[in-house]
Amino acid sequence: MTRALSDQRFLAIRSLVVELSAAFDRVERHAAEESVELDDDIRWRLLAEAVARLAAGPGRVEAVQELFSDAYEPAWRQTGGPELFGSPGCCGR
Amino acid sequence: MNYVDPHIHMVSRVTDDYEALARMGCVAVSEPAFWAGFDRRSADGFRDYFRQITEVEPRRAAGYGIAHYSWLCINAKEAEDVKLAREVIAAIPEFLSASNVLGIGEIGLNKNTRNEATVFLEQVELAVRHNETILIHTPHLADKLRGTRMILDMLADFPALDRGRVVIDHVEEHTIRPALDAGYWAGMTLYPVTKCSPERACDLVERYGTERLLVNSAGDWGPSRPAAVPDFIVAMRARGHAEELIERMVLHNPLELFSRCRRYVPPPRIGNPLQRTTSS
Ligand SMILES: [Zn+2]
Repeated sequence: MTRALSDQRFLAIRSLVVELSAAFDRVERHAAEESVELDDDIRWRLLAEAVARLAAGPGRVEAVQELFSDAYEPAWRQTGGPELFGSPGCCGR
Repeated sequence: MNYVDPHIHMVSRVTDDYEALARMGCVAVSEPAFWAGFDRRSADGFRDYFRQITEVEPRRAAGYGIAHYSWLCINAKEAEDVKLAREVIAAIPEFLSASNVLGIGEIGLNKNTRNEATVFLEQVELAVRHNETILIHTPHLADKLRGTRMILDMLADFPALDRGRVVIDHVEEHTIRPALDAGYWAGMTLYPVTKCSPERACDLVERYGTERLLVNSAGDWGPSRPAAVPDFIVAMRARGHAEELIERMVLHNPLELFSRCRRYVPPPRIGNPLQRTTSS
C-alpha cells in the first residue's frame, strides 16, 4: 500500500481538518456571544491568512511559519534603532 | 533502541522520569544551562546551579545507567541583566573542567534585544577562548525567524569558529536550512504545542537528510514530554524508515557531536558505538 495517502494518514489529516474547522467555528460563535469584533484582532487575521496559505499548494508549512514570524532585516546591525530589537510577538507572551 | 536525548533539563524532572527514560533505552542525556522559571539574584545562585548540573544530576542519572552531560552559560532570558550576566560569565571557567561538561550553552536570544545580543557575543567569545563547543537556543514563536537570522549573522563574525562544533537548536521548517547550509548542527525540539511535532521532525529528516541533525525533547518545568525522542523513533518506524537511519539520528549523531568536546567520555553502558559502526 502506498504511504502517500494511506488510510491511517487520511484519517489523521481528516481529524486535523475537522478540528481546525470546529476551532474556527468555536471562536466565531464565542465572539458573537461576547460581542467581540474578531477582525480587530491581528491574531484572528493571521489565522485566516494561514488557512488561505494552506490552500495555496506546496511550500505550505514554510509559508505559514513565515506568516507567524516577525520580519527579519538583514542590515539590523547597521541600521540599528530600537525597532529592530525586541519582538512585538503576536501571542501576548 | 538505545538513544540519547541531547537537550533535556533534568533538574526540573522527577526521578521517575530517569527510570522511564532508562526503560525506553536512553543511554545519555545532555543538559544545557537554562532559565529555571525564575530569575536568580546573584552569580552565586548560578554557581549553585552549575554544581547541580555538574555534580548532582550526573549522580541521579548514573543510578539508572544514564550518562549525564551538561553545558554552562547564562541563558538569554536572564542575560537582560548585563551586569549579572558578566559576573556569571566570569564564574563559568571555574566549572569548565568538570568531567561531564560538553561546552557553552544554551546561549542565544529570547526576545532579540540589544542586551541579549551583547551577552550572546560575550559568551561566544568565552567559548572561542576556551575552545569549547556551543549549544544555541533560538527564540520560541514569532521571534524565532528573526532571532535565528540575527544569531547566524553574529556567528558569521567569527570566521575561525568550527561550525561543526556549534548547534543551532529548536529549528523548524523556516529556520533549518540557513543553519545547515552554514555548516552548523541543527536541533529539532519535540514539544506538545510549540516547536516541532514528531511527524514534522520526520518530514525534516526526509527533506534534509540525517547529517548534522539532532532530535531532542527539551523536557523542562513547562509543558514538554521527556519521552519525546522515543515518540520520534516510533513515528519514523511507522513510516518504514530503516533502523540504521533512525539509530543514526537518535544515537550516533548526538554522540558524534559530544565527541567534539575534548573532555568527552562515551556513555559507560554502551562505550563508543561510532567506532563499532565504522569498523563493521
Ligand atoms: Zn532548553
